[in-house]
Amino acid sequence: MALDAAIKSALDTVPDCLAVGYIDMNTGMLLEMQGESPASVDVLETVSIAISNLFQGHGVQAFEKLLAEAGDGAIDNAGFSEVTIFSGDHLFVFLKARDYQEHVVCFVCRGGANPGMVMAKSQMSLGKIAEAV
Amino acid sequence: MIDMNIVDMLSEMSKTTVARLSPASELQSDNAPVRRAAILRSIRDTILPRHLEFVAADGTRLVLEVSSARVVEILEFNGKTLPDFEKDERVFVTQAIAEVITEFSAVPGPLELLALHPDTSPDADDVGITFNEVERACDKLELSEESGEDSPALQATADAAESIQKTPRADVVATPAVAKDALCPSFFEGSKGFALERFQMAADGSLKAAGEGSNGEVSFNPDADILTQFARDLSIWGEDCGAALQGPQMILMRSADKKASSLAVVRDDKDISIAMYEARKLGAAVGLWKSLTKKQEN
Repeated sequence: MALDAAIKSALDTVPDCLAVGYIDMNTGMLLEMQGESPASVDVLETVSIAISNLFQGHGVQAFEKLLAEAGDGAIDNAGFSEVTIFSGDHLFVFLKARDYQEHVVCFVCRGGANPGMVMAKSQMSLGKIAEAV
Repeated sequence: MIDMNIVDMLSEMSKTTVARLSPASELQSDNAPVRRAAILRSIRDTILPRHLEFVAADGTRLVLEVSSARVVEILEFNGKTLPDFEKDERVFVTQAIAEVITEFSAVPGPLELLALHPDTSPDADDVGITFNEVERACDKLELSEESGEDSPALQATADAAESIQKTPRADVVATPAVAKDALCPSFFEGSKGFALERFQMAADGSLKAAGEGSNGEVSFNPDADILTQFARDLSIWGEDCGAALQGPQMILMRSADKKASSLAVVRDDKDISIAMYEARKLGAAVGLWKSLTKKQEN
């Protein structure tokens, strides 16, 4: 499956999903995106530039290390792979690609979406998207 | 507080639980608005593909195909011509679903629901109409408590239909942001019930309060520099997002190791509250956020 088809499939699968994008955090560029409306794509484009702060910020990475040490100490498994943000009208889910740690898939959903379903379905979609890259 | 809610909920469940003699379950049917709310709730709560058969006291049936809280087909209602989900405009289909649900709600109760496996699973292309869209369309249709066969109260006027079409999509409507004050202190207090560790700090990263969580142990001690750096990351994130983010936020950070502890970070315009919790307590963090934001909206 091509990346655009995988992204479109994710858009259709995740409940209340407005837009899906594949982001390269090193550049803040959207490598592929699909949205239900220009407004939702605008939101996606804005957060794609900002998201590196939450995955690659110095403070966030220091927190990741502390969390790993507070747990089983397995630094190899350290690192946030999923960031979910509740903000007003929108629910955002960012998932790190498993093979490309600088790549993130972003799902922009309506604020009233069922967060559990959004998180579960977005995780399920990640595999197909990763295969398509 | 959360624990008490759970206890109350379990207590209520034990009081209301009865053995079922048929696969049908009875929905709340006091009056038409209650019936409509019950139908909408059934749609919202249906995640796996199901045929939802709603049956009124006089035998009137409404059958919807629902999946992932989306209506993907109206299968049967009162011999009416039903919308074509593939060919008709989305706004028209949404309006039609709302009208059918509202009209059916006007039929006297009691109301029963039968949830059946569909013969075939919906195609991936069957995106359907989301619960939120249906709910909003229903809100435009008036339905009085006296609705019934003798007093048809469905007042789905052309104006209502027109207003639906003129209303911008939910994703482009800027609804009022949640009030910005005092969310962080409330979250800090509320997270005591599920957090392993918790902090509250000012927007510049200076620590305001810290407290151990539910297990009474302290194992996660970020120093002042780390807290300042973390606050700075959040600040730059907020600035870069600009108007794309509205009001306070809750940021959940989960590790690649799904059993590892996670972070719930709540930001309002003054403070940052951080709760470290076990991965399995994610639902508690979401529940607390929802209850706090709902309180502020009211």
